[in-house]
Amino acid sequence: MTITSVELLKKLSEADGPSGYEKEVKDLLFEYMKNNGEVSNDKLGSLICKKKGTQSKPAVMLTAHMDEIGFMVKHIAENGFINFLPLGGWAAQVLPAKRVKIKTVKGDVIGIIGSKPPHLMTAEEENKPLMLESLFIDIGASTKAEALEFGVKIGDPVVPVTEFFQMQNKNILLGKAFDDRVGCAVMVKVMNNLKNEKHYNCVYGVAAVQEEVGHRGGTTSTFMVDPDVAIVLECRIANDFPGVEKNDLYSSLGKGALITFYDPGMIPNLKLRNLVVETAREEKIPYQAYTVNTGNTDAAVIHKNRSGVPTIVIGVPTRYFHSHAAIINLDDFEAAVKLVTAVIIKMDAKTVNGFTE
Amino acid sequence: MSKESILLIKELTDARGISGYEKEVSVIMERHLESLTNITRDRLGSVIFEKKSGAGNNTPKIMIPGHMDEIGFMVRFVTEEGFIKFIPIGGWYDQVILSQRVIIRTSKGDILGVVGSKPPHIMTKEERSKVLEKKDMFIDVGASSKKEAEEEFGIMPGDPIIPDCPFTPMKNKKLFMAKALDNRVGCALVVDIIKALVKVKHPNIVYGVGTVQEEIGSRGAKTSAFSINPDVCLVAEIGVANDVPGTASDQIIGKLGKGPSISIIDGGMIPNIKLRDLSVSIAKKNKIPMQFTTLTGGGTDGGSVHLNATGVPSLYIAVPIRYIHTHVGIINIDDYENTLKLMLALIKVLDTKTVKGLTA
Repeated sequence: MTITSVELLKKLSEADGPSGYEKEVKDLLFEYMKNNGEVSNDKLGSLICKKKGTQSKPAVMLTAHMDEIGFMVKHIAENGFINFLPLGGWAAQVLPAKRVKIKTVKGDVIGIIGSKPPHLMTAEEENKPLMLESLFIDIGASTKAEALEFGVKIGDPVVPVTEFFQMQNKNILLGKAFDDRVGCAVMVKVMNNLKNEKHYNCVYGVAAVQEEVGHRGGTTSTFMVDPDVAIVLECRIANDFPGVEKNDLYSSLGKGALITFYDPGMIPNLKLRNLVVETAREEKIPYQAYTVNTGNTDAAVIHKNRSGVPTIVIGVPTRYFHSHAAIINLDDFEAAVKLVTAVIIKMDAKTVNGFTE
Repeated sequence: MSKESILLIKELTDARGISGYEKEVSVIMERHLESLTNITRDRLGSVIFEKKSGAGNNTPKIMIPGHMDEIGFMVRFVTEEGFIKFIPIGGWYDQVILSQRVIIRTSKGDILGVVGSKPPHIMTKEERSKVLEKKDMFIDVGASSKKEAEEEFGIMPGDPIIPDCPFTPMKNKKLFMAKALDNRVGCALVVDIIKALVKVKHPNIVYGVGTVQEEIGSRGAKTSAFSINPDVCLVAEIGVANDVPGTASDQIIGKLGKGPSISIIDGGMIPNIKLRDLSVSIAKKNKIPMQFTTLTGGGTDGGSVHLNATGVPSLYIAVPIRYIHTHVGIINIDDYENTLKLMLALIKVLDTKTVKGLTA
């Protein structure tokens, strides 16, 4: 099945799956991956697609996480309003007046995160940051009984509602859940590319569950794959927007794939890192060095598996992370796909053994 | 007082190796131990020195991790004007960084720089009473443009930055100033313990380990513990000596010259109680001075190792050091010698029966 990058990103972005509820995303990925190799699961629900090259070793793990940040129904009030828990890291400020979807057994129920009109606010309230605990979802039910009739139950997952959108500049894409469906899309594209390439290793494409709540699928899928080397595909922060000083810039849209040199979760294996940089230079793929003091990825657990795993994070710069609508540049996405494909082709037993010598 | 140990500590503390960049340190340890041990590595870069005793392969495995990494910084990027913006690696307090000398290790060699600071003459009154934050600091390497810093000096994002402070003997012959005493002192203990064990019988197999990446979360301890699967762990580390002005006597957790600090709790581990008590009685029996220490914030490699597999009886024994996590620490060499003595005496009694008893 051939699918364009934009179609693939749209499908994956619009699929709903907060942490612990990744089924819809997984079903979609299964369709895209089943012809690439042998598909299995870990017992938390991560999907693993094994694609053997000319050799069964080294084991190269290529991984992205399927879950998006969202919420869970915590309580249904007598007057029909819904209290919720965050799944993943939300800032309360980006939530009021946003549309959300409650995934119930009876189907999707659309709601809105309620907010107080400024008319009713005291001067103090206006200047005070909102607290997550004080927010609620209005689904238009006027009693608890009615909400229950809609199918809403405690524990139901809640996701942002945002339609995928190609902006005026067709290379600029807007959508929800780019973190980390963009990584999933990179993985699908790379696995497709590998069908036409000779690679002297065995690639395990892994779509992990529950990254946003603490790298849980990352832990279990790594145990299962027991990789010799790992590449983590992630959205990473682009903050090239007003209000950010030049010296505080992490990365920019349209300037290439991100190679992580440091984040609080991992320092990459230096030989692997240098190989990725060299490959980008050789292939003339634009890249940016990403060194940040905030945020981490599944790499934080993967590289500490068993006696250690040389690991690198390759990212796509993403504006407005952890909100209803993020923005990426298609060129950066394609650069990441190209870079990861080229790196995997270089990973024969000798090169991979060399990482830890 | 052993002159050899002092030279070893000098050699190890002068070596440059922040978290993730420990190669120079591991090379030194390997040079000292290659003829005495079987050397292996985990896949994050920790070096494992296996010292068998001839007492058999079924004897207990004693892991002695000493982390090789020191705290430092990493290049984030070079500004258009040629200044270096950096991120801290490990726990730095803002106030001790300004106007310190640092070394940037590039692919073209080591470059000396200084953390820039504003002279008080041009500070406002408010600025003077405020702590400058790390994120607003920069390093001056004397480059006048980004191009010069990158192309001529070879400075690139990701390059490690190391504090610069040579090992220096003080007036009191027992005291020495150095950078990176945390934890090259532990690395020296690993080397000295194994050297000493060559001459004596011990009822166990000792795995001295130079671990990587302790300062950013004991990462190498986790992977090396998996590789060894130890039965007991004695952490070779430094501890806090805060016997200095401004500390109330009831707040002192370690004093220079009073012997090894046996930890009764730290932020990452409560020691195996029987192992702790055994080490106290061994100290008494051998007339080795000792003190107790408690650390509520911060942990050691023990935090990782004691959780390996089904659990590992572990103890953190520290050489007290003043001014850790800065450019300059101070050590009393007597404390080092006494810690070495205590650990050796402990290793000698850790036979199969005793080790089994720790978890019985």
